[in-house]
Amino acid sequence: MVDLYPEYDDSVLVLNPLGRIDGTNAKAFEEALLGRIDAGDTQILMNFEGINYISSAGLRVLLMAAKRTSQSAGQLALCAVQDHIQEVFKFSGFAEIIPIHDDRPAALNTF
Amino acid sequence: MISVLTIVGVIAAAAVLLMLALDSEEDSGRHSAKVLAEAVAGWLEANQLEDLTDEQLEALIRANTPIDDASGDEESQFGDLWVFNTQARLSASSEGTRPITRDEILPARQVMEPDAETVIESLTAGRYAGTAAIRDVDGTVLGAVRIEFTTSEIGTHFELYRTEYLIGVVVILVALVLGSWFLATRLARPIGTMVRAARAVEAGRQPEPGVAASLRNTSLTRDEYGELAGVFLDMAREVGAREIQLNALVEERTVELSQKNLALEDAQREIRNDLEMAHSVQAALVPADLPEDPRAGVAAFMTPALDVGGDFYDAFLTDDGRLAFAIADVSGKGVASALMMAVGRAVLRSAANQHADPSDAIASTNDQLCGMNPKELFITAFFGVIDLELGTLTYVNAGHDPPYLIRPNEGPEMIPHTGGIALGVLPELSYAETTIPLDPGTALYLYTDGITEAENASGQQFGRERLEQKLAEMNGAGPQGLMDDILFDLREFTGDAKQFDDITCMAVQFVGGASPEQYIPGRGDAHLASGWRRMVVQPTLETSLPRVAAFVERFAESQGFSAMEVYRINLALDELLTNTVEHGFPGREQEADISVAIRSEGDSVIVRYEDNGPEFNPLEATEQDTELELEERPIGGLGLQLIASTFDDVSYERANERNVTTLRQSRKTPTEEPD
Repeated sequence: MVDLYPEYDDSVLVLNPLGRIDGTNAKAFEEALLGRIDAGDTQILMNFEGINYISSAGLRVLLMAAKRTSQSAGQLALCAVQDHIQEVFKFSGFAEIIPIHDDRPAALNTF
Repeated sequence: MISVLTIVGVIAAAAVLLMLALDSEEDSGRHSAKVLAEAVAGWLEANQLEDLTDEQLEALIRANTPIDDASGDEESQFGDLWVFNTQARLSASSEGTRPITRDEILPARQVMEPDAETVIESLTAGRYAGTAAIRDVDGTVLGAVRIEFTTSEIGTHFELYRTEYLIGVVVILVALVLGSWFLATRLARPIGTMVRAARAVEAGRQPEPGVAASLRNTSLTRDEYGELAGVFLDMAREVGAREIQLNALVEERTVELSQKNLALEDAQREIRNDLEMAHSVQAALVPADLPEDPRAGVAAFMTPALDVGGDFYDAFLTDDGRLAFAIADVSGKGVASALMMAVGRAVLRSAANQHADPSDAIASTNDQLCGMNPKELFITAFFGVIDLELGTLTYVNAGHDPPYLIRPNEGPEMIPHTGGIALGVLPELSYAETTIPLDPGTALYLYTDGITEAENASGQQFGRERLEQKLAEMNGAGPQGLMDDILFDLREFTGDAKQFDDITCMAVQFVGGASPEQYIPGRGDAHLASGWRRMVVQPTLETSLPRVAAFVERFAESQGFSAMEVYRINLALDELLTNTVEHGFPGREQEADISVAIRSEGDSVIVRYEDNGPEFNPLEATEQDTELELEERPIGGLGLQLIASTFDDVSYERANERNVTTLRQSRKTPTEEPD
C-alpha cells in the first residue's frame, strides 16, 4: 500500500507521496489516489517534493485522476516537481493537461 | 602292542589246554591199554600165569599207573585178562573172565609175528583192549596176553598226567611272555623311538640324544626295523640340513628385504621432499599480499591437504584500478595439479590485465590452458571484477561452486551461475559474464569444495546448509571475521578427522566510498571506453527495477552525469523492462532473459537493451492496455513515446531471436531545459 501522507489545507487535499512511482507500485498508487476521489475529494494538490522518479505507469494514474476530478468540477495540480521529472511532463505533453506549480503556497492560491 | 601279544598268548594257552582236555580220554585209554598189556607180558615172561594173583595184577597196574588208591579200594576187580600160547590158543584167563571170542584171538596171533608191536583196540562204552606178545630176553615169542578194561577202572590219562599238562601250560605261558618281551624290545620299542624322533623332527628339533642313540642302535640290526631306523635317521638328517638351509635362506632374504626397504624409504623420502616442495610452491603461489584499497576488503585462506592439491585463489588490483579476484580448484592431486595451478593463476592474472571484460579474460585463459594441458586436467574457477567506482561486480563462473552474496541485513544468496564450463576442457569457447550492482557493505564468500565436503570423524560432511547458516549469522562481519569464524566452525566440526582436500576460501567486501564525491570522476574512463558494462536482469519488476536503477546510477556517477541524464536512462529502461515483462511474458516472467548494457562512446552514452520476447518494435507499437476507458486511450504508447522523445536516437533490430533496442544520447548537446 502506498502511503500518500494526506493533509487538508482548507478544502484542498494535499498529498505528499515519497520515492518512486513506477510499474511496481503504480497499481497501489492508483487505488489510493482514485479512492480519495471516489470518497469525495475533488480538490487535490500533489506535492511532488519527495518524488524522485515517475514512470509512464505513474503518469497514467495522474492523468486518470485529473480526468476524474475535472468531471466532478474539481481539479488536480502538482507542485515542487523536481527538474528531471518536470522534463518528462513536458516531453509527454502532460504539462499541458495538469497544472504544475513551483511550490505549495503558489499552488494553493489557484484553488 | 605288548598287552595285545600277552592277550593273544593267554588265549592260545587256554586253547591248548582245552584241546588236551578234550583229547585226554581217548588217548589215556589207549595208552593205558598199551602200557598195561606190555607190563603184564613182561611179568608173565618171568612168572607163570598161575602165579599171577589179583593182588599181583593190581600191583602191576599200580606200578604202571599213578592211579589213586581211592578208586582201587572200591573196585578190586580189574578188567579181564587172557593169556595165549604160541599157537594162539587160550592157555589161561583171569578169574571171572568171560570166554574169549574168535575175533579177540586175531590180535594175539598178530602180535606174535616177528617185530610186531602191541595192538591197541578202542571198544565200545570207554572200553579199551591191549594185546602184547610175551618174549624172552632173546626175543623168542613165548605167547601173548590180552587185557581189557574200562577207563573208569583206572582213571583218565589226564588225571594220570595232570602234572605234566600243567607244566606244559606254564611252559607255553612263559614262552609267550618271553615272546612278548622279545617283540616289545625288538619291534615295539624301535617304533616308539622313531615316533618320538619323528615328532622332534616335525617340531624342527634334533631328536633327543637318548632317542638318537637308541635309533642308531636299532639301525645296526639287520632286520626291516633296522633298515627303517636307518632310513629314518637319514631322513631326519636330510630334514635337519634342509631346515638349516632354509633358515639361512630366510635370513639372507630378510637382509635383502631390509636393504630394499631402506632404498624404498629413500625413494619415499625423495617423493615426500618433492611433495613438500610442491606444497611450498603451492603455498608460495597464493598471493603474499592481498590488495589494499579503502573501498574494498579482502581476506583469503588456504590449507593444502597432505597430498598436494590444486586449489588457488588470487586477488589483485588491475592496471586500471579494478579489484579482480578468483578462486579455483584444479582437478586431481599431486605435483601435476600444483603445476597446473601455478600456470593457471599466472595466465589468469595476465589475462585480467589485458582484457577489460572478465568474460574475455576467462576465454583467453581457457585457450591458453588448453594449449598447455598434456595431463588433461581442468580448472573450475570463479573470476570476478569489482568496479570500485561503479560499485558493480562483473563475474564469470567456469564450473565452480557458486559463491555467496551477502547483502547488508539479508541472508546469503548464491550468485547466479553464468553457465560456463571448467577451464582447460575445450578451446575457443566464449564465456558469458554477468554484472550485478553492489550496495556498499555487500560481501562475497568464495570457497572450494574442500570446505563443504570436509568430513568429521563419523563421515558427515560440513555441507552447504551449515555454511549458509553460518554466513547468515555472520552478516555484518568484515571479510576477515567472516572467514575466520567459518574456519573456526569448520575445525570444530571436523575435529581430528583427516583433511582430504585443500581448504580454500576468500571473502571480499565492497565498502564503497563514504560519499559519491569520493569516487574520482573519469578514473574509470580507460576501461569504460574499452567495453560495455553489462548486467543480466532478474526478470521480476520488484527486484529488477531498483537494481537496474542502482547499476545505472553508479555508472552515471562515475561519468559525472546529471540527475536529469540518469533519470532519462532509468526511465527508458523502466519502460522497456515493464513492457517486456507485462507484454512479452505475461504471467511467465521467469522465462524472460533480459540484459542491459551501458557504455560511454566519445561524448555519447549508449544504452543497449535486449530481451528474448516475441518480436516487438517499440517504435511502431501502440498501447495494448484494454482496461482503460475509451477517452483515456490517447495516453496509449505513452511509455515508449517517452523514450522516443527523451533520446537523440532510438533504434530497434531483431537479432538472434532477440529484441535489441539501442538508445543514444549526446552529452555535448544539452537538452532543452523545461520552461
